[in-house]
Amino acid sequence: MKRVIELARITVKQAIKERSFYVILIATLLAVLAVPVLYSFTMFEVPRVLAGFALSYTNFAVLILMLFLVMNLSQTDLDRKTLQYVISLPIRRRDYVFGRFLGFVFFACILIFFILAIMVPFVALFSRMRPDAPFYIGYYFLYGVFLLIEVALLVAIALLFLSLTSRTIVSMFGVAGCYIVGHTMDEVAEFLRTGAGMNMPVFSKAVIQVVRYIFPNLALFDVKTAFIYGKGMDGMSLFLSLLYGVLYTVIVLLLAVVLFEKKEVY
Amino acid sequence: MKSKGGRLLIVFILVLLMIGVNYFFDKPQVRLKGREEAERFRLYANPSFEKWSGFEFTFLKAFYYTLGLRVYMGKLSEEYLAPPPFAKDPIVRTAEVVTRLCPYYYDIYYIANGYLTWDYGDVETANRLLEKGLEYTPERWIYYLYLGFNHFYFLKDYEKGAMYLVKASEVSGKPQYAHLASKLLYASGRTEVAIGILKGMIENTRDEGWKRGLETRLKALEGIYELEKAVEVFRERFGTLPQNLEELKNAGIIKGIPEDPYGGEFYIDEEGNVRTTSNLTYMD
Repeated sequence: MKRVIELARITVKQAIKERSFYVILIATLLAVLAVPVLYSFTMFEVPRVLAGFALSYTNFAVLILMLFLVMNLSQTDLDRKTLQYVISLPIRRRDYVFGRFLGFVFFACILIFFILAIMVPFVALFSRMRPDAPFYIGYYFLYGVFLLIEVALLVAIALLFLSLTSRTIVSMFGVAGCYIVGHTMDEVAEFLRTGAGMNMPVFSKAVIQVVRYIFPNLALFDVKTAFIYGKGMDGMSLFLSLLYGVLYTVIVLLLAVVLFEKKEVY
Repeated sequence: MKSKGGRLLIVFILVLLMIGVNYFFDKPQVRLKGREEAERFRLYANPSFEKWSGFEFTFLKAFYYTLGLRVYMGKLSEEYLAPPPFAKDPIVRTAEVVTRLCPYYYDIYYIANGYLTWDYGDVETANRLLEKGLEYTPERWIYYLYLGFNHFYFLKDYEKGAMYLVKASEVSGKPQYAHLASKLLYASGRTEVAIGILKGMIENTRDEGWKRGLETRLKALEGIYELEKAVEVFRERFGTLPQNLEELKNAGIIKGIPEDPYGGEFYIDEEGNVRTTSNLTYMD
C-alpha cells in the first residue's frame, strides 16, 4: 500500500509540473472573463445559462487535460525507459497500475474542484443580478463528483489500453472511441425502440446490443441538465449511477492489472 | 539571429504580421460574400444527430445555436423593416434542433413563438413547439399563457384559449389569468362559458382573498348573463332590440336590474350587447 501511495504522489507531482496544467489554469481565467460576456448575451434564466457554461467548461477542460496527461506521462515512461526501471524494482506491477490510477484520479479531483471554486463566485455574482431562475451552489459541487467518476472510468480505460499496447496514439483513439460510444449509446437504444429502429436488420440490432453491454454508459454521468433544471433529481437514480461508475471502474482497472502483469515491457 | 533578443524580435514581427493579415482580410471578406451569402443561415444535421454529436455538451450547443439565430435575426433587422419570408425556415429549423438538444431551454420557445405568430402567422407551429416545451417542463406556466393568447388572439378559439389561461392560473398560482380568461370570453360573447370557468376556479381555489375576487367577477357575469338572456327574449317577442334596460323591466321580462359589484352600471350598447360602465374592474 505504501508503494501505491508513493507512486500516486509521484504521479500527482508529475501532473502538476506539466505545462498543460498551467494552460488550463489560464484558460479557466479566460472562461471566468467570459461569464460577464455570456451574461449580457443571455435573454432569460441567467443562472441556468451561466451554470450550464461553467459546468460544460469544467467538463471539457478536465476531460481534455486528463486524457492528455495520461497519454503524455505514459509515453514519457516508455520513452525514458522509466517503466522498465520501475518494474525492475521490488514493486509489484499491479502497484504501478493502482498507483498511477490513484494519482491521476486524485489530480483530477483537485483540478475539478479547483476550477469549480474559481468559477462559482463569478457565476453566483452574475446570477444574483438577474435571479430569474434558482441557483443551487450545492449542485455545482455535486456535479464535480459525477465528473470525477466519469474521469476515473476513462482513466481506467486509458490504463487498460496502455496495458494492451505500447502505442499511446492507439490508446488515445481507444479512449476517444469509448467516450463517443458511451455518450451516444442511450440515443441509439432509444432509436431502436422507434418504428424505424425496429425495422433494422436483426444482425445490426444484435451488434448494437453487444456493444451496449461491453462499453460503459457514460450518459449516466451527464447530469448537467438534471442539476440545472432540477429534472431527474431522484436520489436513488443518482446513487445507482455513481455505484455503476465505481463498479465499472474497478472491473476495468482489475482487467488492466491482469493484462499489465503479462505485458512485455521493452 | 541566434541571440534571445533576436528571436523575440522575430516572434514580435510575425505576431504583428498575423494581426495585420487578419485586419486586412476582415472587411473585404464581408464585402465579397455579398448580401445573399450573408443572409444564408447555417445548415443543421438531423436533430437526432445534432443531439448525438453534442455528447455531454448539448446545453452549450443549444445556447450557441440560439445565440446564432438571434444574431442572424438582428442582422436582418438592419436591412429589412420586418423579418423577411426566407428567415422563417431558419427559425423553425433552429427551434427543432435546439428543442431536441435541450428541451428545457426557455429562450428558443420565446423567440420562436414571438416570430412565428406575429411575423409569419404560423401559429400552429408555434403552438406545437410550446406543447413540446410543456411535455418537459409542465411547471412552466408561461407556456400556457402563450398558448392561451395564441388561441384567443390569432386562432379565435376562445374556449381553448380560456382553458389554457385557466391552466396558467392554476400552475402559476396567480388568479389574474383566470380573470383575464373570463373577461375575454365575456368580451367575445361567451359569458356562459366564462361563468362555468369561474365556478370551476372558485371550487379549486383555497386562498380566501383570491376566492373573493373570483366570486365578485362571477356575480358580475351572472348579472350580465341574466340581462343577455332577457335581451334575447325581448328580441324574439318584439322583433327589435331594447333601447335600454328599463324597457326590459317595463316589458316584465326582468323584475329588477342586477347590481354591478364593481360599482358600475349595466347598459345595452348599439349592437345589443350588455356592457358595464365599470368594465369589470373596481371604479375609484
